[in-house]
Amino acid sequence: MTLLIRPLLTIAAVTMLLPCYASNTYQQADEFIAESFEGQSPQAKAILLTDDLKQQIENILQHAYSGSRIRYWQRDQRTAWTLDEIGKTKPITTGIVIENNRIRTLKVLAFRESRGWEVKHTFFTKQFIDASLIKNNKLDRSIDGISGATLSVRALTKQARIALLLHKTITSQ
Amino acid sequence: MTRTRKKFPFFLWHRRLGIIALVLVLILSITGIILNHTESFKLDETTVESELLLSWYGLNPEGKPISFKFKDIIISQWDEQLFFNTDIISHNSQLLRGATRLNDIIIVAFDNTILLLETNGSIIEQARINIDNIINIGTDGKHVYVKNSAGDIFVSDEQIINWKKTQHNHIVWATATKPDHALRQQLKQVYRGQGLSLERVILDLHSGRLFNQRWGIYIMDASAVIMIWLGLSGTWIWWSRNKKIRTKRHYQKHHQSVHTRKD
Repeated sequence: MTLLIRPLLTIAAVTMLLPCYASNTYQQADEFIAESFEGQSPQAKAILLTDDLKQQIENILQHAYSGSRIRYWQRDQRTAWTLDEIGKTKPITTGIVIENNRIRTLKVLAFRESRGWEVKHTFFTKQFIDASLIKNNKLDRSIDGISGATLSVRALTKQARIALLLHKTITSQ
Repeated sequence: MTRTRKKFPFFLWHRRLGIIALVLVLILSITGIILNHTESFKLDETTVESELLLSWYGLNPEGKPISFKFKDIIISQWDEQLFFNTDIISHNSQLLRGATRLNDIIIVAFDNTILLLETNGSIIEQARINIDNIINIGTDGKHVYVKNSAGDIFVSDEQIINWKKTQHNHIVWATATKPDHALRQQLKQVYRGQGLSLERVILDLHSGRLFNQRWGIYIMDASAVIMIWLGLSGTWIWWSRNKKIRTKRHYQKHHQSVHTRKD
């Protein structure tokens, strides 16, 4: 009996602790930027959101966006972004690197919700690699969801689409 | 000596428990119906204004508010909510360290985050900067400066994007003020208004948590158990009465006629 109870108690304890562990910052934004540019971060810049651009962002987000500029880092055809979007109640911070209109890296930098933290894993984020935008600012592929992390998956997909849209806007100027 | 047959207790308990559970079952049913139509009733978008309910929920902001005042603008923080005059503009778990104004931009500093606002309160940007433990923010009329806990001073570029270490002596640092009573009341009202949705109240009423956070749910559990009991006892009463009636009819039909014939 003890043999059965002990592993069960251990599993229960680990399950209870997982959400606490999940509410974490996995990487600082400045470290992510440095890593994305081979250790040499370029100076940050900011893109001013025109009414049209803001409207497109809001269409992707499906809610209002409160800012009027977004900062980014750029070297040649590569740009890096750290974007926040609310999963269920708290913002998920994601670092996204775009090169030649395709996603080069997508990484969850901070996850503050108690559920849905599975989106930080590479098995999920690797789906975004090489993704680009097609008509109506949609991704050129469908992203497989994770059971119990639907809102987080949705938030990351939105962030990827916004980063691609902003990159396209900057590089086409 | 004749033995008196006791009344069947199911009937008595069915009646007693039915009366006891009536109020709770009504609450459970009505709130259940309302919750089924949360979106139609916009329960999640409706905020509760009742002082009594808000006090019951303990929706008083913790700690003391802190404000930074300009000519016609007051930036305040109370319990992680940031206010532009009396409007909540953002939620920030970091402590408000100061706010300054340069031309038409309000720059608000937190521990390691800078928030840029237009003079109408619209957010321009909120971004983490590479300076930790900021303790104050100031300006010399041309640039924005922040000071960290180590005493280092950093100056921003014209767009307030990048920061670099500097040494400067003519900076006017932001000074915190204590909000007056009227402002405190207004901030509290706004804070409370955002804090309690009607959906929350109805959910808590439905689950029983409104009565008590710890044992409230057991009241509703009890009413659910009583409902089960009422269903079972009702069926039992119906079945036993039916059986009695059938026995009585059978007796009247067969046995009474035999007695009559004998007579």
